[in-house]
Order: sequence, then structure tokens, then C-alpha cells
Amino acid sequence: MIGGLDEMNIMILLPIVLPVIVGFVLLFLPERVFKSRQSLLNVTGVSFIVCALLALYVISGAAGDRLVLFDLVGSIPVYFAIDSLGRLFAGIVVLIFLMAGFFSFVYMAHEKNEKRYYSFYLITFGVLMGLDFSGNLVTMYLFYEFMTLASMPLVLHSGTREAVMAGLKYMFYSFCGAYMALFGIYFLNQYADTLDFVAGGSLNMEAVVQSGNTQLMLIVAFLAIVGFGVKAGCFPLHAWLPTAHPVAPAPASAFLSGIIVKGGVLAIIRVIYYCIGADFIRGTWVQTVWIILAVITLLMGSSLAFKEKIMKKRFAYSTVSNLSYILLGLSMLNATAFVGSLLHVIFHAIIKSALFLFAGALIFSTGRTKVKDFVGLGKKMPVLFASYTIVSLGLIGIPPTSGVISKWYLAVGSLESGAGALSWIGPVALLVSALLTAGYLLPISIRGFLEAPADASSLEKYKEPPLLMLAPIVILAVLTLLLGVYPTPLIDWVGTIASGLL
Amino acid sequence: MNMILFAVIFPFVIGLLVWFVFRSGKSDQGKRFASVCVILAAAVELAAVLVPLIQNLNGATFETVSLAGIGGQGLHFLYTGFRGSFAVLTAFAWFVTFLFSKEYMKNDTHVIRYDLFNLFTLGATMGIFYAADLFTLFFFFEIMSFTSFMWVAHRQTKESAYAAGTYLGIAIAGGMAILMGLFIAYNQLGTLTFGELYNGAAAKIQAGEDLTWLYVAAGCMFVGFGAKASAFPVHVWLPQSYTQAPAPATALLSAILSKTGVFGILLVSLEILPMQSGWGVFILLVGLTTMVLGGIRGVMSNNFKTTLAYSSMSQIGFILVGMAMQILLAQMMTVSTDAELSREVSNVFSMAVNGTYLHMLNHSLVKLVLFMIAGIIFAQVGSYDLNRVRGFGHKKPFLLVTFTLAVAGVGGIPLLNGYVSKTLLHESIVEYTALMDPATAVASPMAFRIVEYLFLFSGGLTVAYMTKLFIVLFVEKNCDEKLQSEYESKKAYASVLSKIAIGLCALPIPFIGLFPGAVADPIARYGFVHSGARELWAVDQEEVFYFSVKNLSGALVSIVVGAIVYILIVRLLMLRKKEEGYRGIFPAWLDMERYVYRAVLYKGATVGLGIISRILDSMVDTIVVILRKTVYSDRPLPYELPEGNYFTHSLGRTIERVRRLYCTIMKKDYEPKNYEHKLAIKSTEFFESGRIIERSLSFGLFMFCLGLGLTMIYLFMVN
Repeated sequence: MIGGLDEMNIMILLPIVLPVIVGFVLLFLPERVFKSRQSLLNVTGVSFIVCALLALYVISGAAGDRLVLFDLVGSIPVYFAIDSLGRLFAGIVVLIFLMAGFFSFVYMAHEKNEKRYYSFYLITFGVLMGLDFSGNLVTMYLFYEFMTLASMPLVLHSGTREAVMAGLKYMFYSFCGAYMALFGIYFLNQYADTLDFVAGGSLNMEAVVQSGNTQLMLIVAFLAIVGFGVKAGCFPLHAWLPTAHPVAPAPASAFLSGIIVKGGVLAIIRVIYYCIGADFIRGTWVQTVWIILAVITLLMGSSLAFKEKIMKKRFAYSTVSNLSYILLGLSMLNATAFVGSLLHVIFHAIIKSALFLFAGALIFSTGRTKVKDFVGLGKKMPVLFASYTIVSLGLIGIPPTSGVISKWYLAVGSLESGAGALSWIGPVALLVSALLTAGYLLPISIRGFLEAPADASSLEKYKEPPLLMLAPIVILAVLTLLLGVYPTPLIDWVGTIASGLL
Repeated sequence: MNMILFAVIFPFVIGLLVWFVFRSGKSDQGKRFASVCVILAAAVELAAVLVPLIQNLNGATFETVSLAGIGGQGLHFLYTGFRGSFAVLTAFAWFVTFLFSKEYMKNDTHVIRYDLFNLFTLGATMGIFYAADLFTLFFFFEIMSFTSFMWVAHRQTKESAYAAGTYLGIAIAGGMAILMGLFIAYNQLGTLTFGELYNGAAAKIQAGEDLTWLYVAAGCMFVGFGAKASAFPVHVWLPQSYTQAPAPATALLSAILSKTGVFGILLVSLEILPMQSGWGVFILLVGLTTMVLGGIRGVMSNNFKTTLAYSSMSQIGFILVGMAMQILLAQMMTVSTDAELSREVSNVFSMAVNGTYLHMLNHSLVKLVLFMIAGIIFAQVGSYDLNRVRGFGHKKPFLLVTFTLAVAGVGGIPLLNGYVSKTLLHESIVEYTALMDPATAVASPMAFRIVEYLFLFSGGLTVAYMTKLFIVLFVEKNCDEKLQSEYESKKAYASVLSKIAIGLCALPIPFIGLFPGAVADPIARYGFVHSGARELWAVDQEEVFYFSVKNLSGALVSIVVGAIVYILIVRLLMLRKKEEGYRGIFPAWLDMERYVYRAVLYKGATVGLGIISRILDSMVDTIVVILRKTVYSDRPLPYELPEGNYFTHSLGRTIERVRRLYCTIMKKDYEPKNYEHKLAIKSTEFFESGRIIERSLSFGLFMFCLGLGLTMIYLFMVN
């Protein structure tokens, strides 16, 4: 049992609890409290900023890095510990939270139930902070389930039948996965020294070997990967993602596709690298199957995105594919690929949010959703389309944008991994997928900039979206470019995380 | 500031500046001002790359300069004679095309956008030529591919969009292939720095390790670099893109960008697979195919610019053949033990190297001239169709002189530049055949005899298609006499600046050709000695007697072949029907771009992947749906049945369904007979009678009886 006064850094609780409280208050306040839409936005905007600042304060380490809240059962506490990995994930959450949040102030003007949206958005943020700061498996699992529940209303938001069905599907798949993972936690409790996250894993190998349950533990590891992999859109339980993400309002899609799915990635990292230990599954069938699943998913996601006609759905399939870049890196179980994965977590969060916000901006200004609807619009919205082009290049992995950096580490790590033929099949799949990525992203900007619709006057009425909408996209695009041109500090920092683990 | 870094970064900065200042300006004055700005920028760039060249000639050496941390790996630049001279050529090419563009692009739309991407491409190309490691090379190669895409897409027509699509597709695929090659090379050799790569590879070769992965890496990179160089079979983007891009951009594509691809292949051959005869044979085969195919298609085209485009491809083939000879000769040097033989081999080797280098240089100069002339023609005629262009050159002495210099130069006519480089290349093949030891060589001398014949034949093809263009422009008259007189009266067909641009490029052509010993050899030596080749090989080439009978006869063969091909193909086949004029006679169904790349690779492969993915994608969903339809059905809506019970309800409906199925199969009219209702009535009757029975005395007695019976059986059994 960990405890003691020096670990009572109660400030850590603030960015987790405050958004949840504000969210619920907002949820239950009657509509009439807010005299106008503007006053609602003011309140929400202030709470966004306060929550984000609190989170940044905790991420900076000023609030200490451990907090034991209370014991759940026996010796299993609800326990927060902030390490570099948590900081990294929390940092991205804050960034995307703010970008998508301010974007939604304009976007949500044409949606109903705005107040409900903001309240669940805030709650989700708080829960995500809890997930990122979790110090042991049980705490993480709790917040993982809360995350599913809190983000559900974002999917359901429009209340149409399609949205409800998508929401149910989301819940079904998420819980399926979570139970698989839960199964694993029981066994880990038996065989691990502690359920706290320990860099390099805490599995008591002697106990496992003595009990003769090595195979069983491998199955446990595999179930944990597949189970948490559901959130990360890993084949075979990925099908909820392309259904659920596009039905949400665009900024929520950005948040879901950019951030929430990373919850699954974080959970897998925590279980494999901090509990079971990478050494335990290296070279076993679990690793092989994991790599194969990742390769299948990333090719499948890209080819479906390539064939998809509806823009948001296309981006959702692209998320499926890109998350598997990350999983592929993790499955290689070496430091280089791990660095690649974490870099891709960051880059993909930035890029994919920008893409969904772009889709949102177009839906907001034109009301159209199909990929082929935006012919010639680039001339009317040059800044928007230019930002889109930059992030697209980032996702394909064209220097000097950021995507190529993560791809580099992923592929080199993969080749180093010594996983037989899979070690080169991985990079090949990455590059084929990149090719398909180019095929499904670039035509949008090419049509936007270089082609003209048959009826040119139909474009007359369009202009750049409002500043509050445009600015987040531009900021994300600039980040994509900057992180591609000068990623060295980031790589060094991520490298220290990896070297502590492997 | 370091001049090399300056040369790489300056175009990017100035490009952004020009765009920022002039982007909204629709006025002619703004455009004019912008075009002056870019000319000045190119002049500054040219000065910037000349500085290190001059310093180097004066004996200064340069360290590798780095931009640490940029792009993750840091960017590193290096100066060598080869790089320096090509950087100068690049800056020069941009300078003259900007001079030319001032008039040519005057009435064009989106000029500022064009300038922006043009300057970006210049910076990226500088980055490629100065790159000190493969990552830097790749970094700028990708930037160049994307910025030059805007050249092809510039006109924003349907055709240009199609061409640009192919260009981009091949560029991205090629880029990814290069990246894969980089991954493998890094994995195998642990470095990407030139020099260290060579050391690693040489160590592997000496240790006799398995080179399969290095071959794979080189092959991957060949796809990417070869695509830019327009080597077979990744040349498919070339004709359309060259035709669609504005003329100055085409000039740059052909003169400089194709050389970046060649440079890439050269580096792969020098650094990753040094002295590997297997690789040499591969490059030789690709080079031969490119050379012959490009030549044939050049002859058969009836479009002025497409002919030039295929000419580019064919000349790249010559360069690749030269490169292959370098590799084969280098391999021969490493195995030869005889000192005398070694000396001779290294002499031939330096011929191959110099020939390759000079032909790259010559081709750049010639293509700059030719494509700019093509631009002038297009600006005046509005078409590249040979039948429309026919007779345009009459009474235009400037055009006549420059065009003749260029076509004769590339055609390998003695006293002009192409003759020098082609002679060197030809000699290297001939000498290699003579020196090779048939027992250990990669192929029989006969095979190399064939290589030599193909080389001369392709030289003939060059002569043939260039003659075709010459005769079309300056000898024949247009069928439309009014047009012809209009052409002849056109005196102000080009501005002074445009003429200066063309003249500047045409000027070196006779100099290199007339004084090969004084001009060509030193240039080649400067390029070669520092090209990254090892000290070991840096043997000065012996003096070549360019104008000996033996060497002149090679050119003569090509000229004769060219004349025959011209008469047979162009005069007899293409002009068969006089009224139709020139007809393109290359069969359309052999269009690789449309039938292999677009149909099979782009459409077919993605459809295949899509189908497989769709199946995988819906797998779990299908299972869920099946489960929901069977065991895990959703709870039925709670509603009261109006009559009957659940059993009669389902039985009745089943009967109805079976009847309906029967009727559908037997094609009878189906009338519902309402079994559900009938059964319900039956069941009500049944249960009502049952209730009467149940309440009767007789039923009570019967139950009593049953109970007694059971008791009795129990008693029996107990006993």
C-alpha cells in the first residue's frame, strides 16, 4: 500500500474533478439561466480555459506527481501518478480540447442542445485527464469505462436514428473490449507484484513459470491487446469507429478521432509495457498475431478510406489505418519503433483533428458532405484549403511535414525488430498505406484548388469560414509543419520515455 | 553565411516574399515587377553557387555543413566538383528560363503562384545536388516532386489535370519506394551519409556477405529516382507532363529535374552497390530499353513537344548506359590483377565516367534551347501539332542557328557537343568488349556487340527525329499558304530577353564540340574527380583523339541509320497520306500509362484491396447481426395479441408464409386465408371446451382415478 502525506497532492485532482463538476452543473442548469447564446459561450469558454490551465499546471509537475485517493478494495487504491507518458498524452488532450472546443463555438450554432454538448465535452475532458494520470491498472480501467460513457452522448448528439444506432454500436464494441481487458486484470492481480504501473512491467515471472500458466498469461496479454485495441480501432473489433465518428458533430469527431481513440493506445502501452512487460511477449505468438492484426488493419483502413465517398467517413477510416501505424510500432517491442509510435500519437492527433475540423468547416459553410462536392472551393477558401493541404501532406508523410518523422522511426524500428518476414512487411504496408493516403487526401485539395465546377457562379456565395473556426485549423497545420521541420526536442524527450521502458 | 546553405534556403525565402508581395496583384505592372524580381533572385542564386565553385578551383576545400535537427535527422550538405557544377547548371537553367518566362508568361494567369512553386523547386533542387546524405536527398527530392507538380497542373485544364495526376501518382509512389530503400539501407549499413555508406557496403562485399537486401534497397531507390529520370518502365508520366507544363517549366523538367533522378541513381550505384556487375547489367538493360524506346516513340510522334519529350527519355537512356559501363568497368578494375590491363581498364573507365557526365551536361543545354524554342512556337502558333507548326521557321535566322546547333548537338554531329560525349560513351562500350575476359565476364562479347549496335542505332534515331523537326520547321512549307505567309512575315516572334536566354544556352554547344580537349575534358575531369568516386579510381583519362577516323565512323554510322529511319518511318509511314500531313503512328493500345498503370495498378489494385477490406471490415458486424437475428434477438416489443395466443399466432403466420412461398414458386396468385385468425378461433373454442371439462364433476373423478392409479403403481414398485 502506497500512502503518506507527501503523496497527497490534492491539486492533481482539480483538472480531473473540476471539468466533471462544471459539466454536470452545466447539464442540469435550466436553459433559461443563460439569457443568450453568447452568455452560454462565455461561461463555457472560461471553463475551457480554466480547465486547460489547471491541466497544464499539473502536467508541468508543479502539483507533484502522486496522489492516492482512497482504497477501492483491499490493497488496490485509486491512485494517480504522473509520469512522462501521462504528460505526453495529457498535453495532446489539452491542445486538441482547446482547438476543437473553440471551433465548436461557431460550429454548434447550427446544432441543437448546445449546452448538453458542452457539458459532456467538459466531462469527457476531465475523465481523459483521469485516464492519463492514472497510476495503476484499476484506476485506469475505471476511467477507461467512464471515458466510453462520457463520450457516448457526443456520438448520440444529433439524436437521429443513425446516431443512436451508432452510439449503441460504439457502446457494444467498447464494452466487449473492456471486458476482455478486465479478464486480464484479474490474472495480473494474481501474478504481478503490483498493479501499479512500473516501467518495464511488474509481472512476477517466477510465479508464472511455477504455476505453469505461461500460455494462459500470453492469452491474457493477447486479450488485453485486442480488448483495449477496440478503442484504438484495431481489427477485428474496429467496426464501431467508422460508424460512430462521422455521426458526431464535427468538433466532437475531431476530439473522438484525435484523442479518445488514443485512450486505447495508452491503455495498451500501460498494460503491455508497464504491467506485463515487453520481454514477456517478445518472440511469442502474441507478438506475431499482434503485428499481423496491425498490418491488416492499416491496409484495410486505407483502402476503405480510398473507396469512401463521404468525407467524414473517409477520415474515420483513415483514423483506423493510422492508429494501426501506432499499434504496429508498439507491437515491434523495441525502443525505436516505440518512439515512432509515440510521435505518431502526437502527429496523428494534431493532423486528424485538423482534418475533421476542416470537414466541419466545409459542412458549416456549404452544408455538403461528399468528397466531390468541393470542386473549386479552394479559390474561395484559400487559407482553409492550404491548411488542409499541409496536414494532408503530414499524414502521407512528405517532408518537411511531421508524418515522415514518425514513419521513419516506425519503419526503422520495425526492421530492427527481428520479427522475421513481418519486420519488412510492416514498413512495406506502411508505405502502401501512405500511397493510399495520398490517393484519398490529395484529390480534395487538387479539386479544390485546380479544378472549376461546371457552374462557376454556384461558388459566388462562399468565403472563408469565421476566424474562430479557421484559427484552430491553421494552428494545427502550422504545428504539423513546425514539428516536421524541427522535431528534435520532441524526439529526444520521447526517446527518454522509451529508454526507460526498453 | 555559408554559400551552400544560402543557395538552398534563399529561393524558399525569396519565393515566399515574392508571393506575399505580389499575390493579390492582378495588374500587369505588378506581374512585370514580379518577373524582374525573380530574374534578379535567380541571378543572385547563380552568383551564390558560383562562389564555392570558384573558391574550389582556387584550391579551397569545404567541410560538410549541417542544419542540425531539421527534419529529425538534420540536413547535411557537401561540396564536390560534380555537385558544384550541377548546382551552377541548375542556377543557370533557372536564370535563363526566368528570362524567357518574362515574355512567355506575360499573359498567363496565376503567374505569381507559378513563380512561388518555381522558386521552391529551385531551392529543393539545390538541396538535392548538395545533399551529403540520403536523408537530405530524400527530403528535398520529395519537396521538389510536389512543387514541380504545380508546373504540370499549371494550366488547370482537363488534360493538364490528367497529366498532373499521373505525375503526382508516380512521384509519390516513387518517393515511397525511395523511402523504403532508405529504411533498408539504414538497417543494413547503419548510416545514410555518403562515403560511410560506401565504406559499409564495401566492407560487406569484401566479407562476402549476402547482398540481397542491398540489392532490394537499390532496386527500391531505382524506382523513385528512375521515375524522375524517366527511365523505363517508370517513364509513363513523361509525355503528358512535358506536353502540359508551360514551356519554361518543361525545359527545367527535362534539363535539370531528370538529372536529379540520374544523380540519385548514380549515388546508389556508387555508394550502396559499388562495383557490382549484377547491378551494372540491370542498369544497362534499363538504359538500353529507355534509349531505344524513347527514340522509337520520338520518331513516331507527330507532336513537336512530345517528340522532344521522348528525345529526353532517349538521351537519359544514353546516360544510363554510360553509367552501367562505369559500374561494369569498375568491377573489372577490382578483379584485374595485371598492372598493364588495370591501367587500360581505368582509362576506359574514366572515359565512361566523363562521357556520362558530359552527356548530362550537353543534354541539359540542348534541351533548354529546344524547349524554349518550342515555347516560342507555341506562343505564336498555339499548337504543337507538326502540321500546324510546319514552315514556322522560315526567314527566322536566329531560330535557324540556335535550333540547328541544338539538334545537331544532341544528334552527335561532329564539331558539336553531343559528339564528344557520345564518342566517349561509344568508345567505352567498344573498349570494354575488347578488354573483357569472356570466361569471367557477365555476358559474352557478342552481347556487348549488340549493346554497341543498339547504341549506334539509338544515335540514329536521335538524328532521325531531330531531322524530322528541322525539316518541319525550316524546310517544308505549311499546307495552308495564308498561314505560311503569316509565319514568314512574323518578325517580332520573340523578345530580346527570350533570345538572350536561348542564345546563352546555345553558346557553349559549339565550344564543347570544337575544342573537346580544351573545354570538354577539363570540365569532365573537374566533375569526375570530385564526384564521390574513390581516390583509387581517379586516374586521368588519356587524351582521346576525338576526330580520328575510328571515332568519326561511329558518328557516321548513326547519321546513316538516322537518314534511313527518317526516310522509312517519317517520309513513308507518317506522311503516307499527303492530305493528312504528319500522323502519329505509335499504336495507342501500347499505351502503358493508360493500360498498365491507370487500369491495373491504380484501378484494379485498389478495387481488389477494397473488396478484401470490405469483407474484413464487415466480418464482426455480420457476426453481430447474425447473433441478433438468432439467439440474441432484441427483446420483442411488449404488445398484447388481439386474439389467440403466441402458439396460434406463430403457427398461423408460418402457414401463411409457407403458402405464400408455395404460391411464389408455383407462380400462382396468393390470397391470404387468414390462418392466424382461424387458428385463434379454434384455440378459443378448444380452451373454452377445456375449461368446461375442467370444471365438471367427471373431470374431478377422472383426476381422482388417475391419482389412485399412480399411488398403486408406486406401491407395486416399492414392494
